[in-house]
Amino acid sequence: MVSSEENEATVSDGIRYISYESESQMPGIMKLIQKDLSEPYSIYTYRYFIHNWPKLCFLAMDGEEMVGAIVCKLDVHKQVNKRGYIAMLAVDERHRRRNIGSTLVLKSIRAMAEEDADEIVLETEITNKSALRLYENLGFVRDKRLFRYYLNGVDALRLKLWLK
Amino acid sequence: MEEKETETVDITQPFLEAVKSLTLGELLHDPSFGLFEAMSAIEMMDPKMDAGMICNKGKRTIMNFDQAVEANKLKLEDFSMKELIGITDTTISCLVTWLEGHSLAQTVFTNLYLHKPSAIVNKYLKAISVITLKQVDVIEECVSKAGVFEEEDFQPSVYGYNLAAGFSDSKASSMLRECEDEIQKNEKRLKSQRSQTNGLEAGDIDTNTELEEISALLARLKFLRNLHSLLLHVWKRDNLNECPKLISVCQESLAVMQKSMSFGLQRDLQDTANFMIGFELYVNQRLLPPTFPRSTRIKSVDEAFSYMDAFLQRTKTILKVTTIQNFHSILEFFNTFSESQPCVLSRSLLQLLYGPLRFKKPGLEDMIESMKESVKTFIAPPVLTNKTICSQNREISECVEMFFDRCANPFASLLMTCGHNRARQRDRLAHMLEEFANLQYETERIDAYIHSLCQVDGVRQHGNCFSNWILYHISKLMIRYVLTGFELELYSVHEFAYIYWYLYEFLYGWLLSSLSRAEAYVAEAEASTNCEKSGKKASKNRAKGNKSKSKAYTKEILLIQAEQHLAGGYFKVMMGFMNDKRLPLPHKEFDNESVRYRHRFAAFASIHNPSPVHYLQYKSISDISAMQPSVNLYVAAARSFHQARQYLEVIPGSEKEVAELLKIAKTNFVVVKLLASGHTKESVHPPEFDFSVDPHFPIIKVK
Ligand SMILES: CC(C)(COP(=O)(O)OP(=O)(O)OC[C@H]1O[C@@H](n2cnc3c(N)ncnc32)[C@H](O)[C@@H]1OP(=O)(O)O)[C@@H](O)C(=O)NCCC(=O)NCCS
Repeated sequence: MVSSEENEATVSDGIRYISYESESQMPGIMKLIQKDLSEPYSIYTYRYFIHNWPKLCFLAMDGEEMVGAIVCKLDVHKQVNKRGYIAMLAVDERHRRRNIGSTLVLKSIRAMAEEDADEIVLETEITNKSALRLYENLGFVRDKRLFRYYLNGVDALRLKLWLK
Repeated sequence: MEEKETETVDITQPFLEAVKSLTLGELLHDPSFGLFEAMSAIEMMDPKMDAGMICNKGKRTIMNFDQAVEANKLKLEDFSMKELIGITDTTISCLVTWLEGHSLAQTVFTNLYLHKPSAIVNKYLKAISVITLKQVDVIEECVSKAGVFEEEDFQPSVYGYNLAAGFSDSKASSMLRECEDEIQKNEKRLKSQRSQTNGLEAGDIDTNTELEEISALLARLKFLRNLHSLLLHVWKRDNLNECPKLISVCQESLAVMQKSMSFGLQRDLQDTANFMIGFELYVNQRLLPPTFPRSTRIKSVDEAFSYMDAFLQRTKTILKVTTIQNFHSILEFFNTFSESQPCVLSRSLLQLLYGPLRFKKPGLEDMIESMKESVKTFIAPPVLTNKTICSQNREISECVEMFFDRCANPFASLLMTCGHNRARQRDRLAHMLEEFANLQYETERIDAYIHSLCQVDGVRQHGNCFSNWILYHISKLMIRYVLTGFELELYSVHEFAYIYWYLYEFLYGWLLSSLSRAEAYVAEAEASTNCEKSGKKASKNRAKGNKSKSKAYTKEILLIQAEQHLAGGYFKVMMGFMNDKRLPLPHKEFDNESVRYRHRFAAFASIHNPSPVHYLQYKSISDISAMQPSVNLYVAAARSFHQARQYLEVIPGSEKEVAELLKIAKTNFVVVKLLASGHTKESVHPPEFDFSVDPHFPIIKVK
């Protein structure tokens, strides 16, 4: 059942999905993600995730243009369970609602499930309806509410997908 | 701020040289450089990240109090009324912004006058500044001591600022009183002048404005002084009977303030440099941790006054706790208050008024006494109703004491749990359930032991009185845990079915059975006192007390039954929707309802009685439903909503909660009837659930 597909490019609806390969893709990833964030991340944040878990970073390419990216990590949480974490996800505005975001998330869930993850979590603002819809469509549920979590004082939700 | 003499060396070149030895993407770091460090690392001098850079933006130099005075940029006297009102209102806005979780550095201490109030020449402004600092001081103490805040609620740091330590509370208060007297004299003089000129002079309009400004300032001074005094009373927990009066003076003043906001100098929101006389929004920028600049928007005066208005109302409410004797009522009070999502300050004040874990007055001993009374009325254990049992057998009385001592901590922690913000409470409730599970375990032993000791002729059986009382509380906690999930909007619609099923089939049922067992005990106790009555003289008071109590029981039971049937109604409708494929379901690949169910109820795992209900049980019920025609399910749901309605209609009184649930039961009944008749069967719109009337029981909407 285990496929090695994750490391190879897949194409769907004209979009090519690839794994992270090298630092030269970093500026593109940063540019894509920075645009939609309410708070900026330093380059160290990107490097922390991507250098430690390069296999959990996927990119969506339209020709040579990067139009979507997802950045995740997977490690042991509280010494008991293996927790995957989706740190960042963004799809270029001009390419939204084409299932690119969902495909990126599914690819990374599969990659983490293959590495035996117990659960996958992420945080998002309660006002980010499109992200909430996307994740809830995939079976994530709201595990916790985080009161005034972001710098701008908005509540956040911790979403979780239990795999086991 | 004084800067130490330091030598600055330009390291740009050596740095660029050294960096050459690293390849692209390589990072030189300490082994302990983890996510937290990476996330809080900033790129120095990037204005989006480096909080210090804000000071360097633009040409403007940021000055502190001394520098501003030196540069003739900060006046200390000759204030107009308009200015004084403007400064005061902005200061109150800052205070409120602080109370909503921002730092003092970016709120109250942006007011330069608060850095050195003794240097202010104008006596009004000086008094206002001093009392503000005193308020900050007492608020910080109250909230820190009460200990029901998290980092997102409240920031206690005063950044080393002096909170007018040189002025005692009474001094601060008398400074204001003096100002008030002076203003009142002024007011009188002006009024008599006006009546002399008979209102015909040209200067009359001026006098009118002047008078209005004067009373506007007077109201502010009064408000600040009385608010401070109110906080002090609660903090010291003395002379609490003064509080209602202080609150109403504050409210009256606030009403005047709200009408006179326009008399004050208005803030310049476009130009941070000229925000308001005496304010420098960036003066403390360097005191902030060097992480991302947290944005702090100072509340508008309007918002701040509304906050104060609501705060006073809340304080009025919490003062009622001091008059409650019954422990169950106290728990209920804490619960209800918390449901209104109160601010951190009022939550803290409530803990000060009743926080037996931290404070002595009332302390744990007092709480234990009121717990005993509550247990006695709840279930009438022979060891509590019949004094002779304990006096004759020391072992029994020790067991009883041991039981209550053991209960004290979990129940006191439960009260504290209610003090936290709603989002955090859910986690804490899960933790409380563990504590109560342990307590339950020990209680069962204590019960068995007491029961064996009480095998004396003519004495009622002890049975498992105490355990039943604990079970009552555990069931309530479990219900609350599940319901807060609705309130925090945590559940997806496709989860409603098993959530309401669990409430309907089990949680409410357990609660009801603990109540009816308690009722049976009480009836037995009454019967045995009636037996005694024929022998001795019966006390009339007792019988009366029991009657009124059973009335309270009835109401509680009816409400629980109503909620149980509402939950049943939702469960059945959800089953119908599921059959009709009207609910959006998650993508197949990683969808696993059984896993989700297990995690959703994981908090119940620690409780052994009643033991958690396994998913398979739900599955078999939902499989049976899936085989039924949806009409049957909708009809069954209609019956449940109708039953809920019937229970609600016999509850005496006209409480808002009951009226609202009644509205929900009635509306849903109609909607479900329509569904049963096949209405909207072909609709492509998923049903909607409107929680605006009640956070736990929605009104169903179909299109
Ligand atoms: C969230 C985001 C990644 C979605 O990317 P996307 O490629 O448009 O998502 P998809 O096309 O896979 O959409 C999947 C589903 O999500 C929901 N959805 C996505 N965008 C939505 C929107 N604007 N409004 C309502 N629902 C939306 C829809 O249900 C959609 O399914 P549908 O198109 O079949 O109705 C994208 O909007 C984005 O980059 N936002 C800014 C960054 C961000 O918020 N990241 C998430 C932080 S964790």
